[in-house]
Amino acid sequence: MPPESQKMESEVHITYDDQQKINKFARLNAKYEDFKEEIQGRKSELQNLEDAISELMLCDETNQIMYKEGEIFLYKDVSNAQNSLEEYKHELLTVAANIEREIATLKEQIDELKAHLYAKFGNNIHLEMEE
Amino acid sequence: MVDEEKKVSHAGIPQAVFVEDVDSFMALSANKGNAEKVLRRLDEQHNKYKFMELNLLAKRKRLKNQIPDLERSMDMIRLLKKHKAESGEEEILTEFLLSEQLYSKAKINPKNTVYLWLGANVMLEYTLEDAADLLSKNIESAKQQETTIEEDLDFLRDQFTTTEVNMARVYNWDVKRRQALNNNSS
Repeated sequence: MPPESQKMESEVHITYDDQQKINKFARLNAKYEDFKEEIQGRKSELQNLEDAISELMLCDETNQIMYKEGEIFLYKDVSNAQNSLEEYKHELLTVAANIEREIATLKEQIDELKAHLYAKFGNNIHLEMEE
Repeated sequence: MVDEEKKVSHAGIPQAVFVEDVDSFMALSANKGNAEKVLRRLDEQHNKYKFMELNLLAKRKRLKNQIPDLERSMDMIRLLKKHKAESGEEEILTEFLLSEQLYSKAKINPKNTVYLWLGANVMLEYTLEDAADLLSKNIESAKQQETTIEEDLDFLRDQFTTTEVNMARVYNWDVKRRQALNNNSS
């Protein structure tokens, strides 16, 4: 039986399939937020690291510096510390790139679902994220 | 009456049943067209889901803190190993954390063993190799747990999204019914 709509535009029949899509949308959205939060943390970590590296360049090469590892500080040569920092930075960059990629894929999927759901439900559905 | 709405599943999270057709759903003997009652029941269910989500989120947060801790211990063991390979018996000079905000110089004699805190006031001596093995096993299982929690959260999210949609539709159904009633009586 076709829905006797017309008089009420808001009456669009929601099928099981639509529900699955809505669920998926909510799911992806939550993931997206999680990743966003994570990338933020990584980015500030990276920033600190950059600062440390440039600070280190101003250091006297013959000095020993204290390098924080876990909960203790180690004494390291400047060049040694530089290597450690660069290594760490490289690692962090890889991690951050992976997260960025995940975010991009998620965004794509989210946009696709969004387009589909808006096409079907028009103004009856609200899919924007709260920023 | 609630039983027919819930099926056992995922980590004891009851499944929210999608309502295909609101008219026939409301005509069910359990609902008798009483939108208020149905809404209240759905709302209750929704609250339960939210409560479960809170629990899972707390668990996830704990794991998210735990994993970096484990990884830091792992880093230290790696450091000890590396030092031993490169400088042999030479002492490691450190500033050691005595208390929050309080450090003191400490020399560490490189040894082949470390002590791991196992909890319940027990510390056990391990060789560097064994300690690394144990830690990596712990890291792995923590990550495994994290994945499981993520899956449960996903499932849970589906359930309360479905419930939310159900609520909106029952509500709309009721509005429409009232309007129809008004039109008829006037």
